[in-house]
Amino acid sequence: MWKIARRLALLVGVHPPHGPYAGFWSWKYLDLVRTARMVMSRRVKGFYSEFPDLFPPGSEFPQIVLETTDGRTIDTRSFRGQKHFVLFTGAIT
Amino acid sequence: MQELKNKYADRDVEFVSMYVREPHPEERGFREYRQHEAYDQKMAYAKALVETKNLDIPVIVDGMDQRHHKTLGNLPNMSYVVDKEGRVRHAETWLLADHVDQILAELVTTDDPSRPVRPTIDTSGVGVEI
Repeated sequence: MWKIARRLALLVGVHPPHGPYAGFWSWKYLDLVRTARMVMSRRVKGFYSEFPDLFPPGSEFPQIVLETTDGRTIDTRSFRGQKHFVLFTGAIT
Repeated sequence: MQELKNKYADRDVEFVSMYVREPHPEERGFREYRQHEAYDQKMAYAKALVETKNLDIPVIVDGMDQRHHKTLGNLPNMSYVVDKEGRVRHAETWLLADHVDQILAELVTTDDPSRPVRPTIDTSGVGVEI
């Protein structure tokens, strides 16, 4: 049932996260109406549809220079020739 | 991701988390977290995240203009794996540790074939504990 729900969601352009209940586990702690409106909005759907074309595999990753929570500065260019890196976004909510 | 970091601790791999805008401020499970109104508040929230999750991964904080977040795709939990040449090797709208593990295993094995690494991370249980 949840697999079908996930397929239906993807069909209408909604991209739930992975995990139990076809990714809808996170709705346990979200406002359902507000979240539904957000994920169904053209703006958010656009983020998902445009993503594959932004920096596809093989493309050059843009330079990012930002401060860390412990007061350092990280420049992703400094990893060049030294390390592979994984960058992922996140927040509390 | 901490599990991944530990797995690749002795290889040429770095992990960086970028703290971005809150996708669900003041919603049911997060009443105390408002959307950022100033950089100081954003940094404070990022530090709270590090402390709450006991993160050992550096967390960079995007500016209030969300410049880098927008450039990379404006999604709440996207992921990129970049090789030593600065080329994107993997990009995904949602962070999946097992997918990242597969790519990293290939990259580090190519770096040093005498020490091959196999993908081992299993995310089938992710999201079970809320």
